[in-house]
Amino acid sequence: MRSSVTLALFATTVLGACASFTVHDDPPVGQVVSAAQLSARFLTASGGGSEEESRSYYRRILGGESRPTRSISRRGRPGLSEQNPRPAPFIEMRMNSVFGAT
Amino acid sequence: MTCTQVVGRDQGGCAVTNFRDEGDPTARVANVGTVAMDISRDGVTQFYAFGTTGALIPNVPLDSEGPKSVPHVCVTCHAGSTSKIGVQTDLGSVFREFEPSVLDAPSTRTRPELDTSLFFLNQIVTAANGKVKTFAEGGPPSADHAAAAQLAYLNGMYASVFPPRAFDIHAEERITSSWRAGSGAELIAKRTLWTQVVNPATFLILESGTGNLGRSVRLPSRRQRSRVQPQRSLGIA
Repeated sequence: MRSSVTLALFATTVLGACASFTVHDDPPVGQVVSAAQLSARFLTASGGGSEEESRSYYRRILGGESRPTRSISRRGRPGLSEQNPRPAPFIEMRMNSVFGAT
Repeated sequence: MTCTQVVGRDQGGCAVTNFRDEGDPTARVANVGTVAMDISRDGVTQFYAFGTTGALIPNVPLDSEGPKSVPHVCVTCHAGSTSKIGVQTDLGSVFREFEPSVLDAPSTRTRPELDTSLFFLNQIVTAANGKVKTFAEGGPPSADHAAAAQLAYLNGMYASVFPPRAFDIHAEERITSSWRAGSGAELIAKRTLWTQVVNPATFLILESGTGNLGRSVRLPSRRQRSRVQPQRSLGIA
């Protein structure tokens, strides 16, 4: 109950005032939402865009529409290529790779 | 997590390669994807996502809702807007901090070693955001606010720097200036909301938007305030 109250306050005061997001299906003021729902609302806010928009974005930042397959290795990451893109498996948000500045 | 020592315009960048288990890199087990950022020659922050094989991928599954498009999925945390993505690549995004109090040291490194690495990474982040195109240079109006908010957040992160020691994410020292205004019960409510909910759950996400959130927050009623209890974590990664 305590966490529900806190979440409700958070949702109504903070999310409601966050003009920089496009938050879909905001809960009415006072509605209690779960942590999972709250998390999903943040993440859903980033759900726009299409695969074509994404490919267009890559084409433009990697050298323009005229060179859509330019290798990203030109930017210092040898071996990384725009060829044959495929879906990635679930990426763990808990970062347990090796840390360090190089 | 890796950044080049210098991240500037058309120079270096940062990348995070993800593994299921800490020992996977040593055991040569394939990673599950990499995300990266750099800055273009004209000061535009740019996002990349790569799959297991290193191929550039348009969508990344970062949550339970399935794959979402780059760069749309990036701006939620890195600030900026994709509203004009059809005509420009400058989203007005910034590099984000490495938050010591929510990152655990791998078994091969001590906590002080990790804190030192994160401190240096955060210095790189700070310098990198200073290279991002400003509004005066033609960047989006939100870019300056995002960079300034990120700088302020990082400036308030550390209790000491020799050796680096960051405040816990729940600490009152981490309350951003706009949430320190007010007095009495209002201030107590804002302080509680920030330390127990907003900062642990969202870090800088809300502050790095286009406006100053602290000015527009509607506080709960007196009855509601009396029911606010500490909430340690909401689990938003």
